[in-house]
Amino acid sequence: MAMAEEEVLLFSTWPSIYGRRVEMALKLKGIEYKYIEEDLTNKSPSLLKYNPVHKKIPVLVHNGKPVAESLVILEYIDETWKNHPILPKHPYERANTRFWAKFIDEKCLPAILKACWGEDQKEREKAAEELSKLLQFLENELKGKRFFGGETIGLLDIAANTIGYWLGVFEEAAGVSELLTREKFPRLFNWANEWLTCKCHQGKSTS
Amino acid sequence: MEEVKLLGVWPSPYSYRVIWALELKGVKYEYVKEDLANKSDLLLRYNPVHQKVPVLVHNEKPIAESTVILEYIEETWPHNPLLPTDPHERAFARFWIKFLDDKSPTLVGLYLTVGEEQEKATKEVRELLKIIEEQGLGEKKYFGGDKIGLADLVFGFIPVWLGVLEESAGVKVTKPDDFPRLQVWIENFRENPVIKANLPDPHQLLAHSKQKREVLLASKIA
Repeated sequence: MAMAEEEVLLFSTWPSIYGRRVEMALKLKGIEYKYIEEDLTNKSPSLLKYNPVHKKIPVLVHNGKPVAESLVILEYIDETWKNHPILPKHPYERANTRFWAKFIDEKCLPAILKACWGEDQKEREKAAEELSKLLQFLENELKGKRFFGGETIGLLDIAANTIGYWLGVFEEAAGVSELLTREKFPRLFNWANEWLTCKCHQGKSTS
Repeated sequence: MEEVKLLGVWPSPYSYRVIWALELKGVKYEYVKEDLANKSDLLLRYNPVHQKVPVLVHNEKPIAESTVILEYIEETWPHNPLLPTDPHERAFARFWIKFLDDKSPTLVGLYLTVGEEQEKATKEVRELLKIIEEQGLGEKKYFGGDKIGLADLVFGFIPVWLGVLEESAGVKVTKPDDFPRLQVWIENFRENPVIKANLPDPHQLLAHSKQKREVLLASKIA
């Protein structure tokens, strides 16, 4: 399907979970791309040109046209390369996917940050409690499914990458292990293990 | 067969975006007024996660989050399209929709602050409007291109609510000659017959806004 003139660039940084989402999608669909590592302390003229509004990564540039914001990029990828679709067909299920992706970004990720790196023990514990409630929603959402996307990895599984890395790798993350256990979230832990085995990861360690 | 309900709240820009989308597509719906101080069982059932409005209920299936609802409406009733067909242009629309929503604390900051903080907020809003005009709107008639689209409905915050926030807060962000292209867009937006027929009463909106500001500022000081 790739044409000779097709040029796909991805501007990102190695640690960025948002950049990794885009890479997962590109790899899942077998899209060839050129990865450009940005130095955020010294942003390239290309990055400033392709994302003048936010000057952030990731930015996907397809045949010279830029797309920014990871979830926007995922939708773009799905609309442009139709193989291995990452969004469901039915509008209601698509809405459901988008709702939970937003939930992850707006609620779960901030709670994870606070739970791990909150200023004091009290703030971290409070965030961990909040996170526990939030993850319960996702736990319920996984009912009867191998992945959020069903039998195969979809957009929501990609959007949940931070949770996948975190639960999959840090089963006993310091300070939160009592609240986030395999006993409490069996489906999420199973999901994380399955998710980690996907060939669409970079193969780099996720410390 | 088709049953569409919209749970909303009168002054909310988020509810209005959905109203405008439904109206532009001629979708018949029942509007259910919610009272956020006294949430109905219906709301709690249909949006257990956030317990917020708007919620669209289509044949008993609820969809929450205004931007998710907008995309659902577009996909379910594809006539009178509100998104372009080209994936890159669609991505552009989605980028700007997210932009405005991410920046809503800055916009609302104008309204919820006083003194030096408010001066700072005013400056930030001016910068935002500049970015919106130059990068978002550019030379286009609408954010969506030649015709009104989802991004325009989201930016509808500016023509309908920004002026009200300014007036309630006693600030003026823009001078008459500022942002000429944005001003033209504002006029085009307001003149669209469907939008025009579905605007909150400006006097009521102002009164409500002023009252709410007093309450919010008092609780901040307390």
